[in-house]
Amino acid sequence: MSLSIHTPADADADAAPAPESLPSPGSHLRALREARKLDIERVAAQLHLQHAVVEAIEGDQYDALPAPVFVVGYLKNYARLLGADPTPILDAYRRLSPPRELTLTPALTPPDMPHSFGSSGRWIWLFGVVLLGVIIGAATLWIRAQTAAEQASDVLSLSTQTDAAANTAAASETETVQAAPPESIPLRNTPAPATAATETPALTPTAAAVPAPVETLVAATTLAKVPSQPAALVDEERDADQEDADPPDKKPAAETAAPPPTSTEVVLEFVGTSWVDVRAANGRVVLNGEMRSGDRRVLEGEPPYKFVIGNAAATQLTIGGRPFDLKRRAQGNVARFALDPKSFE
Amino acid sequence: MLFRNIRGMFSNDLSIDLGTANTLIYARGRGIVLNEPSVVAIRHERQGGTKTVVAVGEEAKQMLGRTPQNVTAIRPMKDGVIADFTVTEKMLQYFIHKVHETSFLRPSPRVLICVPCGSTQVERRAIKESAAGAGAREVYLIEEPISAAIGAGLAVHEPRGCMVIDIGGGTSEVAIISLSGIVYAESVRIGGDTFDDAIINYVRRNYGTQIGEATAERIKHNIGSAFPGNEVLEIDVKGRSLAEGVPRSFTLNSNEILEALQEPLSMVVQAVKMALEKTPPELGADVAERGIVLTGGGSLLRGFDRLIEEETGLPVFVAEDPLTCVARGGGVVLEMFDTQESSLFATE
Repeated sequence: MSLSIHTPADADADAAPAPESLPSPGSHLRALREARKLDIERVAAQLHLQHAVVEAIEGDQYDALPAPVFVVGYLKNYARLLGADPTPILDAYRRLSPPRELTLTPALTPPDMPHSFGSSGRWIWLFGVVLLGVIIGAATLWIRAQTAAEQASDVLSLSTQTDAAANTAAASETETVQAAPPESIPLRNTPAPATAATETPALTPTAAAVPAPVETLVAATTLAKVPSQPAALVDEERDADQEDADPPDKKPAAETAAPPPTSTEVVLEFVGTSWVDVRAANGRVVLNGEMRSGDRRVLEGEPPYKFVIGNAAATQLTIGGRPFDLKRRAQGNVARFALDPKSFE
Repeated sequence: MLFRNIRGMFSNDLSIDLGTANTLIYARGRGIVLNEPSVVAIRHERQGGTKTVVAVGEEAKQMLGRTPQNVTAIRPMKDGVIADFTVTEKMLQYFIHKVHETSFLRPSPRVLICVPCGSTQVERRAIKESAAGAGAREVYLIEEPISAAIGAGLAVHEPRGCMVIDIGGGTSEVAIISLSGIVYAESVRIGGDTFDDAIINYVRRNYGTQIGEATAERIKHNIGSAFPGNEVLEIDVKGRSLAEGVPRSFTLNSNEILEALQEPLSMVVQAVKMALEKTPPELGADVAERGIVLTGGGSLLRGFDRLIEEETGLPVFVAEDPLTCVARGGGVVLEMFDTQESSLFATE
C-alpha cells in the first residue's frame, strides 16, 4: 500500500506548465554559483553538506541523494544561499522527478512474510481450532466411556474381583509348588558337575586325566579346594546339608497348605457399629441387630440372601474370601440388595 | 454501539491534529478538510446559568480579547494537551460535524489523534475520551513527531535515523525516529504561544505598552525572525500605554523581535542539542549525513532553520507546508488503516 502526499506545491506544479527553456535545477544553481564566483567547498561548508552532495545536486544526480524531502530542502537552502528565489528551482526539480510514492511500513510487514502479524494470527487461529477439536473429541470419548462404565459397572466390578481372586489363588498354588520341591533337586547351590568331579577322583583316582579338557579343568579346581577330603565324607556332608536345608522350606508350604475357605462362605466383618438385617431365601432371619466394631459373622442359611446394611462404609462383606464392594450397592450409606453367593463361584 | 457502527458507514475516517493553536482535520480520501484555530467562544446565560457555544474556530478567534462580559473566548488546549475537557469535547464535536456537513446522520467516524510525545497517561486518556465524547466510534493515538515525520515525507520505516523538530503552538518536540519508532524524544513546553508571550513581555518592558495576544501573533508572523537576516523589517503596532493608560502607536523592527525571542529560542536549541547528545552514534551519523527536518507552524518563523543549522552545524530545512505536516502524516497512516496492522499507534 502506498500513496503520494499531495501538497499545495504539487498542485501548483501540475497546474502551471513551466516554460521549455527553464534549465535543470542543478545547472541553474551551478550557473548562479559560478556567477557569484563561489567554489563548491565554500558552498558545502555553508550548507553543512558534504562536497559530494553539492556536486550531485549540481549534476542533477538525484539517485545519489537521499529522499525527495531532503533534496527539496537542499535545493531551497542552496538557492537561498545564492540569493535566488527557490520556487522556480523547486518547480524544475519536481518536473524532473515526480513525487515519489511514499511507503509506510513495507519493511516491517510485507504480506508474504511468515512472521508478519496477519499470518501469525492465522496460525494462532488454526491452532485454536485444532485444540478445540481435540478437547471436544476427548470430552465425547470420556462421556461415552463414563456411560458405558455405569451400565456395566456391576459386571465389571465383579469380574475384576474374580480376576483378583483367581490371581491370588494362582499365586498360592505356585507358592505351594515352590515350597514342596521334588527330593531329587538339590537345594544347595553346589554345582552338579563339581560334585561329580569330586566323586570321580575319589573312585578312580588314576583316571583323572581321561575326561574332556574342560571337565578336567573344573575337576582340577574343585580338587584343589578339597584335596584331602575323602569321597565318603563329602557325601555325608552333602546329605546333612540337604537335611538342614529342607525343613525351613517345608514350613511355609505347610502354612499355605491349610484348608482353603469354602468358596461360597459369606462373611460380614464390621469396623464400626452398624445395624444389619440378613434374610435367607425362605425369609428366615439369618442375622439381625446392631453389630459392633470388630464383629465377624459367617452367614449360615439358604442363599440367596437379602441384605439391609445400615452402615455400609463400616461393613466388609467377603464371599469365599473375596471382598464384595458394598459401596456400589449403597444408597447414602444404607445398602439393600440380594446376593446369591453361588453366582460367585 | 450498533447505531454507532451503522452511522460509521456514513462517516469518513479522520486524522485530527488537535493542536494548541490550530486544529487540522484530514479526512480519508479527501485530504485536509479543516484548518481552524482551537478557540471556542462561550456565552454564560446568567450567573450560574447555562453555557452555550457561540462560535468555534476562526470566528471565535476573532473574538479573542474582544468579548463582552457574558462571552468568553477560550483556548481549551494548553501546552499540547487538554486544559478544559468539556470545551474541547464541544469543539471536536463541532469540527467533526463540520467535515460531515452533507451527512444527515450524526457522524461516528474512526479518529486518529496526534498527541505530544511528552504527554502523560492522564492527558492522553483525556484526549481519547474527549474524542469519544465528541462522537468518535474508535479513537487511536499517534505521537506527533512520527506523524510529522511521515507528513514531511520521511521514510520512517527505514532503519535509518531521521530527526524531526516539530514546533507547535504549545510544545516543541524533538525526536529521532528509526524503524517507525521513536528512539529519543524531547518535548519542551515552548511553542508559538511562548513566542507571543515573549513579544508581549518585551514590548511592555521596553515600550511601556501593553499589547494583546492577537497583536503579538501578528508581529511574530510579519517581522518575527530567529536569525539575524540581511534586511530589517518594521511594523506599526498599537497598544495601551501603561503610563498614560491610553492607546498609543509605535514601530517595532525585526531585530527587536529577534532579541525578544532569544530566551524561548535558546530553550528549543537546547532541547535539540540534548537530543543529539542522547542519540545513539549510528543514528547520529545518519542525521548528520542527511539533515534535520523542521515541521509545525513555529518553523515558519523566519530564520529558524538557519538558527538550528548554525547551532548544530548540521543541514536543517523546513518541510513543505509545515503547518499541515502532522495532520497529513496522520492521514497517511489513516489511508493504510485497514490494509496494515499499524505499529505506529501510541499506547494510552
